[in-house]
Amino acid sequence: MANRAEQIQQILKRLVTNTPDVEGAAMVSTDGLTLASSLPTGVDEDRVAAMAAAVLALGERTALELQRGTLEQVYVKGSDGYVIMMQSGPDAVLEAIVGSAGKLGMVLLDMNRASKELANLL
Amino acid sequence: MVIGPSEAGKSTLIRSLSDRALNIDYRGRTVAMDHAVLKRGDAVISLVGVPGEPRFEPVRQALSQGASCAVWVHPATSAPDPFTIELLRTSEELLPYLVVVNQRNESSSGITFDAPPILAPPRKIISGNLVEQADFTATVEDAIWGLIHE
Ligand SMILES: Nc1nc2c(ncn2[C@@H]2O[C@H](COP(=O)(O)OP(=O)(O)OP(=O)(O)O)[C@@H](O)[C@H]2O)c(=O)[nH]1
Ligand SMILES: [Mg+2]
Repeated sequence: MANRAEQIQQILKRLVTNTPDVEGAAMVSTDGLTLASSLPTGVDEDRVAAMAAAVLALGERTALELQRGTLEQVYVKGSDGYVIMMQSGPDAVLEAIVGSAGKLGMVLLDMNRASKELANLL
Repeated sequence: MVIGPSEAGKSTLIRSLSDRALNIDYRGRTVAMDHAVLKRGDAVISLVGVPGEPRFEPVRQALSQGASCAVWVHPATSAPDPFTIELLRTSEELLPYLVVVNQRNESSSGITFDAPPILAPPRKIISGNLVEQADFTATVEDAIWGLIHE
């Protein structure tokens, strides 16, 4: 039986491999530490983790302030693609990077599934 | 911006300066930012508190863009930390800053802040206890207005 970190890693790998538009994924704790990641080489995963926690916390408060209920996802669009973050259980964030031609509906569906599996592991 | 190491008392200070302050934290540690607005007549100060944990370096960098002054909350019991020094150094121009020495330990007293030689000296150093000393918040607020009006 693989340990928890390995299981998290496997779910991330599967997300990146099975969903063609997902170019990388990471699981980050709500306080900004990397739990596991499958990000392209050259990406500094510790910096990414700290930023994901901050962005998610800001998104959560923004949704609350503007009466949009509890946060489900934060979505960032750049000229070269997307970053999608979603809460995975109370203490973690699943983050995925997607190419600019990515089909977001499919990506969100797969991320939701992975996020539920990951939340059960924590 | 309000800077200083983790647990220095940055969020505590910002909360005590405004009853409409925003603290975005996780289990007591700031993970995104603090914010409060101070007003005197027509003048407005927007105070942004950064996370002090070393790993939030990219968040500090993002928040410090465009800051005009800095309030350094410094815990009386420790030496100036490299992350705060670096934050003051990397801004495009050297920001004027004041130091609030938080005397949170009753055993420690007096001013225990030595400006690091690579920085310009602070415009002002004030010392007190952010939690137990009721009138200290007003002193800090006056000092912040003093820094802005320079
Ligand atoms: N007794 C006492 N406790 C204090 C004082 N200042 C801060 N604290 C406590 O120390 C803890 C940390 O204070 P914060 O204001 O959250 O520290 P911070 O600088 O915002 O820390 P980060 O968000 O991690 O960067 C809190 O539990 C405060 O209540 C003080 O003057 N006296
Ligand atoms: Mg804080």
